Amino acid sequence: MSDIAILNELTKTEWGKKAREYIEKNGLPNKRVEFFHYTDLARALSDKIESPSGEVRSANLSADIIIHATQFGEIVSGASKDLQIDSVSKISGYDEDVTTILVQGLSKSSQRITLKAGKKARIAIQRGAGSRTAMHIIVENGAHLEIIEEQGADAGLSSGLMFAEIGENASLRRIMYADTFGAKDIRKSIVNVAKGGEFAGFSLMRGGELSRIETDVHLLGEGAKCNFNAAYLLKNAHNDITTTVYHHAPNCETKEMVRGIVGEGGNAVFQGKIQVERNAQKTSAVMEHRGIMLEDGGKINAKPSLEIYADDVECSHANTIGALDESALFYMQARGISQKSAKILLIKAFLSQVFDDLQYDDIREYAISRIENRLDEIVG
Amino acid sequence: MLKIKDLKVEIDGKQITNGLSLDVPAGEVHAIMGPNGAGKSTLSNALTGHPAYQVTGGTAELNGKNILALEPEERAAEGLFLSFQYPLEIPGVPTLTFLRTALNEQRKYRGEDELSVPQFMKAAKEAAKRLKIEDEMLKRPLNVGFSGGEKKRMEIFQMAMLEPKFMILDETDSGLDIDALRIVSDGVNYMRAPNRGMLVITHYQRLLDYIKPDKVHVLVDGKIVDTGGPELALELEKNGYDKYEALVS
Ligand SMILES: Nc1ncnc2c1ncn2[C@@H]1O[C@H](COP(=O)(O)OP(=O)(O)OP(=O)(O)O)[C@@H](O)[C@H]1O
Ligand SMILES: [Mg+2]
Repeated sequence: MSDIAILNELTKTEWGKKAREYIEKNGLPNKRVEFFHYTDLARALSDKIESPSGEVRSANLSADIIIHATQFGEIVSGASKDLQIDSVSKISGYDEDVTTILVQGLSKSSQRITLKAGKKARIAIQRGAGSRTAMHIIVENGAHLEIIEEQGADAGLSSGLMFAEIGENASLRRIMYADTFGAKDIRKSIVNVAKGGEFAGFSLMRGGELSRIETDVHLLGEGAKCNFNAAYLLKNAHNDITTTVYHHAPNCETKEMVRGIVGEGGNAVFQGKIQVERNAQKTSAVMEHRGIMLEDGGKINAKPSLEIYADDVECSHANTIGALDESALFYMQARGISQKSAKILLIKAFLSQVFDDLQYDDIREYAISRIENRLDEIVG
Repeated sequence: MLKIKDLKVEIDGKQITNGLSLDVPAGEVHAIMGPNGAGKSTLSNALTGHPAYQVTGGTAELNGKNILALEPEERAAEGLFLSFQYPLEIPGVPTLTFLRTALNEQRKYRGEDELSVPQFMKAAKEAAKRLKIEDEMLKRPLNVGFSGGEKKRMEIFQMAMLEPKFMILDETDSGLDIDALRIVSDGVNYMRAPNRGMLVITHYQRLLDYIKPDKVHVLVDGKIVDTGGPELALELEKNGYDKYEALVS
């Protein structure tokens, strides 16, 4: 088993050793494991890991804390009494699985960020090539935290572990722009939401040789909410969005919208699961995935699923994969719009809806402009 | 202006247009009438360049230019405009964004400068006022949730904004209420000019009371079988197409 390249990447820490032992004993999951059927980790991580290169394209948004995550570690600026950041050895408090063991084993140290009760703050994280972060985010009762992550890499492997605990009536809004064009990226987020709290995620995935973005959300207290949104634009890229939302308490709400397009060599995976436990009555959950295939190929594998053990719930999911509407394209061309511009207008409209719930215009506009310039590269 | 000679069009290998010839000189308005399924929309779609309509023979020239060799957007930039029988909804694309993109891409093709936002907005406000289109309608995504009549009115609004040289109106009158018919007709007449031509497809003589045609053609079974003055429309209204159907079958 020691020929698996990823073993050389694990840190010499106690949790690095744990990951090594785990992998040596069990191997990494391959496509015969259902959860990894469309993203064969064993295969992706057996080959030599290239050395990291590439820059973050940042909008340099203002923030209370700015974290530059590099292949050598994190550089932090701007903490305060209300928003504290500490280096800790390791994060704990969640159920471990193969992905958490792996990403924890790749990181040298962890950051713990605490936003004090009732406060409001924004954190910007610029994730460079080869960054391997682990973060424990604590949003105390009634506090509102926003995290904007911008990631850029052309080569190498980056990873991230985020364990977020959202207090009562608190919220965490996480915006993630990932431009990992020729690089690999493995991410795991575990989000616990207490009574009346909310997690809102907005991700824009613009490529990556291999990206696996796993998110587990636990709605633990009554009235907790999860609003998960992601858009992908893929060409010669493999992007896997795997999300599991657990409803543990009554009166919780989940809203998921994932939309994307794939062109030549694009491979999109969406695994969305909502699990409603027996006592999570009055759950309301909607999940939508819509994918568009451009004419030059690509693949989309989408597997939305609902597992419901409560009887008084309202849950639905929709899943469509199709091509652009030819008659709409013709209509636009008949008005003088070139086929390429017509496609871009239609796709932009289609993907922008993923960001409709972003209240602040600057972030929404920024997401849309990123969609636009990527479309220019993808659409033929 | 628009010269069509012996045009043959197929859909899915089925011949619909059977050697149609038609000549509309600049400054004139011609009407086309004909039974359902005769091939009127097929003619409009083929001229506009819809990919499902295959031209298998004949020619079509706009101001001496072979339009059949051009992409749909190039035909539009050359001045051809079709007001669709069934206008489409374009979800998520705001009407004015759509129109400004169309107008500027056409201008770019013709080597003209882009219209600035204020210039464009001024033109849009004027055209909307003329066609009694509410601002609220312009803010919505193109045609989304519009009634049949509203969509037709929006087609004419687009036409007013794009200022084409040759216009084909495919049953623009169907679905319009009495007031809307007058407003739309006024909007169309406003655009009549010595250097513009127009083809008006309709089932009803009433539209031709508002938009007075120079000639009326009868299209049956994929070709023009009769041509006359405005009085031909009155006669068709009275007697229907029986005598032509007997002729072709
Ligand atoms: N996409 C298509 N596939 C197959 N047949 C078609 C298609 N579109 C049109 N046709 C056929 O072509 C013929 C002509 O249709 P067209 O729409 O041109 O008629 P029209 O004269 O405009 O009729 P109407 O007055 O009802 O609008 C009809 O028999 C119609 O069924
Ligand atoms: Mg028709």
